[in-house]
Order: sequence, then structure tokens, then C-alpha cells
Amino acid sequence: MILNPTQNRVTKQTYLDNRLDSAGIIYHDFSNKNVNTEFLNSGLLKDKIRRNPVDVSLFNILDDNLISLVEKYNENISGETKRYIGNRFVKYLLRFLSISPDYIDFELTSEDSLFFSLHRDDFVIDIEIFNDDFDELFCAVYKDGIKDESYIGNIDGLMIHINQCFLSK
Amino acid sequence: MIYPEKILPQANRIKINTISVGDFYLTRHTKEKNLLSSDGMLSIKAVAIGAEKILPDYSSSLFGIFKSEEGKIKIINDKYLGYCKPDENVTAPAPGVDYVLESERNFWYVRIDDIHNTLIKYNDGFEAVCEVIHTPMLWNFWHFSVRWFITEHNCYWYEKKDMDTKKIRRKLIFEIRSLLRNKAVTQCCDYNLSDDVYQSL
Repeated sequence: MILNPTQNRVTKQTYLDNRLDSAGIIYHDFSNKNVNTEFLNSGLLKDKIRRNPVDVSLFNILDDNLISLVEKYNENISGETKRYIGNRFVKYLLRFLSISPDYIDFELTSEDSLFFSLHRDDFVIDIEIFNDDFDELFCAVYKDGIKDESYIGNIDGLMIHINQCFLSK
Repeated sequence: MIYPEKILPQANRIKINTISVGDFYLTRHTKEKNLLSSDGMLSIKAVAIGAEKILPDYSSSLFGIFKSEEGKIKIINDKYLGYCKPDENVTAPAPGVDYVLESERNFWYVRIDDIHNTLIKYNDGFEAVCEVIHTPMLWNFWHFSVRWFITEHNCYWYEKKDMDTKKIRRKLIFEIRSLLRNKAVTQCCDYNLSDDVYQSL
């Protein structure tokens, strides 16, 4: 599932929280490097979708992943877990957007871990975050298919590691 | 389908040296219909989600004589699931009793040299090496295992349960997911293996 880089190089992603009947929308504008968030109630959200059909495919990415996992493994994922995963998804996504990826692929695993793949130029950066280790992320960076040293540690160290990989190539 | 004898261990067959098949591909089945993510890389759901328990000794088959048709065979009689010598004399499994066909399976492939001897190094000092090893089974001579050698413990991941701490396990699960996602493909050209690779002449 991609957080789609649209033609004008603006990435938008939504996180729907049905419990709150609202949506948080993250915008990443590559032209000015700004990351913005916006919260809409369901009425405004529907209106926004109606006015801008291009965005429809970007909605519900997390819910889609949760639904497909439930179907695949026939397991129930509680609302609390969904909210927990959703909050972490948004938290880390905001940090990852700061390195201006060309696009991002995302999958949830059957262990409820979040697996991100960031693409920027010839780099592929795989990152996995498990649900119970708040500050422990796993990262592998590939440049033209060749892998660098892997990283384990917190998000701040990870961002330094990624930037070092960019600089060293 | 009559069981294909060509995939059984048999007289004159020898253990395959991984180096001699480095340019060839391993294949593995998946029930996922959509193998690709939107970024054109393999979906980790297709390769390594839901398979966590078998990742320490990950099964695959050498593509070539073993093709997609053979990949649809699902062994239902445990007596065929053991490892064996490459020249073991084996009675062919019987349809419906020892095996069934799962026609809805899809397949992915990975070039052996793209993963064999891959060294994983972490910033905390952890090191492991991915090894591809020919491990013939009673139902499938072409069976290969993808295993991880943990440098500091001087043994394979699957060999030592007490070494399987959460941190080591997660590092290796992550590495497999990442490695396969970056290296595996959904299509493979048809090719034949040279006889001397797998049998004594």
C-alpha cells in the first residue's frame, strides 16, 4: 500500500478513527518540506472526498491493512489495539516524512508490527516497529540493491542513521 | 496427477553444492493473490508474514526440474516430511492419501546468490549469515533450506531454542522480510539444470 506521491509531489495520508468519528489527515508537501496535520469530522471528510476523488484511494490505508489481516488470520483485533497501532503509525510516519521520501509502502504484520518501506532516489529503507517495544526500531538501508549495516535503536538514532547513509553514498 | 518421480530422491543423485547453483532460483509458494506491493516490490505478506514459526529453517525448492506444477503438491502424510539422503529409495506418494494438489497457489522466486552468504551486521555488534543449503526430503529431492548462522553463538538459529530471544528473533525476522522483499521476484525464466549438478555420472 502506497502513500502516493501525487504528480505535484504532495503526499497525503489519512488516519481514520471511527470511534471519534473524525479523521486526521497528514500532508507532506515536498516543494516546501512542510508536514501538516488537519482533523476533520465525518461530514467535512465526506465532503472533501466528494470534491477530490483522487484522494479517495489514500483514505483508510490503515483500516484496509487491519481488515486484510483479520481476513487472513481470522483473528480479532480489538479497537484498543487498532487505536494503539494507528497512533504509532501516525507518530512514526510524521518522522519518516521528514526525510522527503519519493513514496512509502506500508504493511502490518501478523504480529501487529508496522513495516514501512521508504523510497528515495536509489535508496530503499525498510523499517519495522514492533508493538510492545516503544522505542526500538529495526532498519535496513539498501542503495541500488546493496545493503548497509542494519540499525536497531530509537527513532532519533534511526533518523541520524538514515541521514548518515544518505551522506555516505 | 501422478506423482512426478523426477522430484523424488533416487539412485545416483548427490547433494547439490550451493555454489554450483548460485545463478539459479529458489521458489516458494504462497496463497496470496497479490504478490506485489504498489511500489513494485514483493509484498511481505506473500513471503514472510504468518510464516514466523518456520523462518528459522525456511523451506524452499530449487526451480528448474521442480517447477510450479510440482509446487502445488501439498504433502498430507507426515512420513514424507523428513530429511533424507539424496539417493534414498522412496516409494512415490499416493494421490489423496499422501498428497493433494493446491491449485490456487502462487509462487515467488529468489536468486540463490542474492541471499546466500549475505552477512547481516547490526550497530550493536550482532552478526548473522544467511545460508542456502540443499536439504533433500523424502517427498522432494529439490528441497533447500534458508538458514541463519549466528556468529556470536557459533550455531544456526533453528538449532538452539534457548538462543531464540525476542531480540535475536526479531532481528532475524526483520532481516528475512527485508531481504526477500528487496531480492525476491514474481517471475522466473524456464531453465534446465546440468545433470552433473545433481547426479553422479
